[in-house]
Amino acid sequence: MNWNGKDAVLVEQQKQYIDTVIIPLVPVDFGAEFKRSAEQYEFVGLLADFLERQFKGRIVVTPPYAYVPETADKAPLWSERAQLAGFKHVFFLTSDPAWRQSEDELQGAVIFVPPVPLGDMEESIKRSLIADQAKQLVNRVVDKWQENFE
Amino acid sequence: MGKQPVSRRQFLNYTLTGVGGFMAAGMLMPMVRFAVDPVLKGEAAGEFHPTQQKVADLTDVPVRVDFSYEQTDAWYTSEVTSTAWVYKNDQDEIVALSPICKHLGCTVSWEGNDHKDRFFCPCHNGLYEKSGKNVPNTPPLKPLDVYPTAEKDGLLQLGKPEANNIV
Ligand code: FES
Repeated sequence: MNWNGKDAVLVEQQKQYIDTVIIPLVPVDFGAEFKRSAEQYEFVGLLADFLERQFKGRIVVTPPYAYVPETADKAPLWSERAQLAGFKHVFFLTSDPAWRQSEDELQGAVIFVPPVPLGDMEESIKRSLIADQAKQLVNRVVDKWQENFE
Repeated sequence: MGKQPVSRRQFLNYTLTGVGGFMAAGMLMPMVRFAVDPVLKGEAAGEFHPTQQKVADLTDVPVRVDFSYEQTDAWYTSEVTSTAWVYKNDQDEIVALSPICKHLGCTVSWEGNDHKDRFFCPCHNGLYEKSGKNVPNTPPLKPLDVYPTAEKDGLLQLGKPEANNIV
């Protein structure tokens, strides 16, 4: 489900089925890393869209948690709130290697995707590249659901 | 005085009737449109999108066919990507099913998670027979939608998915 009014109605009605949130985690930088942070945001956003389409009936994609270095460590508050509200699974989707080992700290599963600089790549190439990456993600999401049950 | 010039009241009457008539037409036209809409809709449903799938290559095993087309949405055009599961049935007819699960909208896959001869939905273990018919006691309550199909130069074309009426 997407983060909009129409889908929100469904989420509230069908909470026993829509039990998972995906939070895109993206760094924000205005200086030297400006372009890189913008590219990561775009890339992670496209992947999140794809996962939303694939798992519409079980996953809600939230707005991205975007951070500067000083606010990065507040990300766990989002998973805490989501779990308090009854969501069983929280997955963070990120291309920032800093999170790779942070599952405990974040209180959620981390799905790390190595960043691909999309640059000014042609639309059609971009699309097939995203589709490729996303297909691998699909299985990882299913695995995470299973792990969480054990 | 023979010919009276149009009095103020008459003038208002004429013009207001004119405006009223115009407004009525404004209201009626869409209603007429609704009334004849099935006809118009028939046209819209006749819109097929090309795919890269050769019809001659289709077998009785469902294959995934991805296709994209431009969609104009009020102001802007966007590229939409859709998917169908396509095979030939016992009567050698082409069947193209929408992968959108009728429970809450996840994407189903053929024989996913080792479910022999079934479409499987990973979200809440929904199952469908090959015909698209939902398997009882799994969450989906309706069969998968079907695409109208057409063929052009040996390639498959797909229309807009419709409710599946198999029983
Ligand atoms: S969305 Fe397919 S079984 Fe629930």
